[in-house]
Amino acid sequence: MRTFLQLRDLIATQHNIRRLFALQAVVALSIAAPIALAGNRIIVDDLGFKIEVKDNVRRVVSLVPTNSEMVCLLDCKRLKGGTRYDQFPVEVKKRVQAKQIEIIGGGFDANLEKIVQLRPDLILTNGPTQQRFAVPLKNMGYSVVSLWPRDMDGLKRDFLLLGELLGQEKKAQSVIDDMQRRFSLIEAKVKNKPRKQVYLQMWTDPLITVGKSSFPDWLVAAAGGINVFGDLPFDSGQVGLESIIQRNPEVLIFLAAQEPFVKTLTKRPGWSSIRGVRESHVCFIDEPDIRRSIEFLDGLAKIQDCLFRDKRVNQLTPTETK
Amino acid sequence: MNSKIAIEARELSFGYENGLVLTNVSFSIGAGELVALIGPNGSGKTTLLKLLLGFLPPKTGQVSLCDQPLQSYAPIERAKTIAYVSQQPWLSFPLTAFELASLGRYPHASRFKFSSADAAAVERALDETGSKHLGERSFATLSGGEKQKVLISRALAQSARILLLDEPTLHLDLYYQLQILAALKKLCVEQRVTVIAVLHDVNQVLLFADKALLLNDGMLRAFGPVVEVINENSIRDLLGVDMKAIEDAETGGRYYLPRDPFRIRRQPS
Amino acid sequence: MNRQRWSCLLIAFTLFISFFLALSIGPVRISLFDMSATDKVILFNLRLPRILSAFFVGGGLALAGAIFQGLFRNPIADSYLLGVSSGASLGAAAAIVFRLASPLANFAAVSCFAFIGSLVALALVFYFGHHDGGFSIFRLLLSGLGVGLFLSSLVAIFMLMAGEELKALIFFFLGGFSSSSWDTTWVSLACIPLAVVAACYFAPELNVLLLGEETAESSGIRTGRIQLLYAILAALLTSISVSVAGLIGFIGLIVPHMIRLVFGADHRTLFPLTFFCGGIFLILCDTAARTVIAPAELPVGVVTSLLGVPIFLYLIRKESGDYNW
Repeated sequence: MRTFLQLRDLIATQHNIRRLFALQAVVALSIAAPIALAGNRIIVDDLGFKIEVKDNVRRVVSLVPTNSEMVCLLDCKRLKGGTRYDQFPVEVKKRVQAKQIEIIGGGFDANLEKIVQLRPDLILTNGPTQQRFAVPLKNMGYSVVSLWPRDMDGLKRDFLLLGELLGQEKKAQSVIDDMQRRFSLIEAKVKNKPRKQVYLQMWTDPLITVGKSSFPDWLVAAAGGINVFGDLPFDSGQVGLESIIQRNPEVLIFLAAQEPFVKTLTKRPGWSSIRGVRESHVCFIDEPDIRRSIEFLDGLAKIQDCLFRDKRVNQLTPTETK
Repeated sequence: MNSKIAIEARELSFGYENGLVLTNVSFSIGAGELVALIGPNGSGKTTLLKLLLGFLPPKTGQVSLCDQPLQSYAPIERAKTIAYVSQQPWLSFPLTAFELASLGRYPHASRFKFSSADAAAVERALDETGSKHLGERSFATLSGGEKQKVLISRALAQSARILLLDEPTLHLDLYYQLQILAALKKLCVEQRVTVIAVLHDVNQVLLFADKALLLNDGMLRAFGPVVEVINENSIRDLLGVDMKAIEDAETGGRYYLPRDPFRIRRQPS
Repeated sequence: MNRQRWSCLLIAFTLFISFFLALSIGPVRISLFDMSATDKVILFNLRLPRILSAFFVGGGLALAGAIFQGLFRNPIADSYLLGVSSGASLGAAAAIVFRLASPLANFAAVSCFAFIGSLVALALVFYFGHHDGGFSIFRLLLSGLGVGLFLSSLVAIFMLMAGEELKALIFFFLGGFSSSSWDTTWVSLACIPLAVVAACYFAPELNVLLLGEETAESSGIRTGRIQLLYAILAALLTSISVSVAGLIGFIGLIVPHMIRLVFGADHRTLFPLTFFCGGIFLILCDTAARTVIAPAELPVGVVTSLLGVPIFLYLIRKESGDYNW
């Protein structure tokens, strides 16, 4: 017996998702469809799919740290499955250790059997990277929702959507309001200041930076800077030293873990000609500062601090955090 | 086969854009004859064989097998009429001698069942070349001569009236060379199989063959009974070697030896 | 004969056992006699398609290897070594990057493009490896290597060109059965058994072809057509396998070799036995791949390579005694 489920895509969001995922044709066997057909809502996720989610969501499995965090902020007890890289908030880590949350993967991999065993009412993925897990799960009848925030508006929308699905609208709204308030404060600080040219480096050898539509890129913009590689059409990409020299950033930001390797850069020809290097305008930040999350404001403040601080800093020593 | 003529070529020629490899070759070979195909390297012997087998289409002329034009034969029918033993193949897989010889039954055997009639034919074929005892041995472990005998058995298992062999004595020691030629002769005499073999040794030709086809530069120089066609002049013309005929009273045969073996120079033809 | 009859029984038995074993092993403990509703979902929607996929892909690749070996008259040939697998992955990658098909929406279309890619690769290898009416192992391996590397580089370029979305899809070719579902399995179910039957039907012709193209021609075989048919079958088997499970190497090398040791080189028995044993082999490799470091999974290609490379090197050593290089 075959059931056909057809999902049509919409032009989803302001982002450049193309119409690849046109028609979903489907399933051969579907033994136990775990969705009760009564009492459902239909929502549109970040990839443009219309997903049916039942009203009473008690068990959630997340395939990405960002989504685990969002669920836990709203009601951590309902998170039943997460990734091995889930760190925030602290409660998530505790629950993993106490085996209240089952590890089902690490972002690039996901164990379908374990997910099914957890009997989830809702499965959260990120973007296209996880579609190959999303599709078999959808075909088996599960509600798989893609929450893939690229900037603050995305975060807000996704968080509110999740609040709606979990019946925690009020809590979600208050977190968002708080976020917005703090953000406005930060934004006001740099309103009239001229933007700074920023280079954000993720990896030293080879040189990898962030490009357009990546979250760190948005953070830099929100902090009052301009990513010198903002024209890169990828989330992240490899660049050459000559390009960096040519684009001559005024501020250089490195991940703290890269510090020992960054020292080798000083020896490379042309490095010292870069504006930001000459003026010693160099900062180190931690990886959690630029992760996609509701708590991004801490990271944002740090970046802003780095951009507009008056205090000079020694060549390539870590800054003091706020 | 009722007719006396086994294989006939009429005004055969073949070539490519830059010239003809074979020009105007005509001959007619009867059933039960052992014909030696002789010629220097590059004279078109292999091309002639391929034309006779239907591997190449002639530019002009025609080939007939048993009074029927070659083109009119369907591939399987043709395979039942004329068989071919090529240069030794390199076999990378474990086949026994019997299995290899059984491949010759392809035109006859049914697709999935190897009947007892087929098996009998293969046994007979192996017997005719004196290779019955080699049946269960792996082909790769056989000596060069044994391999050649098994390959000939394969062609014999095809039960064809005409057999074409391309340099069957190559790489074989004297014992196997003579054994194979004797086996072929026996086939011609006892079963009226027609054999055409490319041979290089003039003396062996005289011993075993009935007729000889002399080919040079793509042209037929002579065709007829060996004693008529092979003599000092024809050898000099064809192969460019000055040979002396020697009659031997004891065996009653005629043999040819090079006149000046240490100063072989290609004689002008 | 008796040894072979016993071996057949053994193979059937092993097939049954491995199937059963693979169904019961997994990160989620399922007892086959006492299943909850979710257990059933896991079993029928995840494990069963996965095992069937592994069976058909393993059988398909093993048979493709056996076909290539017969076609090129060489024991050292398989889809991966000849670059045909790379051709298949290029075909699929090109289809995805140029938006002609999507593995999630219309998997069958992706398989078609993979098929075209594998035919192209095979034609190239045929062209460069052909030598004087035959195929030398040396030329074949080298041209396979060259073609494979070249095509893989093109795939890498496509991956860079693709934006994030498309890049993610190309993860499919990093392979394995971890995201198996009925969607991808039905294509194998539909096409592979047909290909196996066709391969077995013309096995007598391929047997004669082992002796060379001229001998085959003189036996009444239309060699060109038979070679073309088998080339297409092998390319088809390879492309479906690559579309489902990515690049998995050496099955086509190991399994036919083992079967020949026991059953001989007659393709009429070689082909069906190779297919079944290849299937069993990959079921076992996949089961190992998903249990050894559970809950994470080893790529199944790693397991087959670990087993296959030593056998490959051994074969090279054994064959280097001949002078057909």
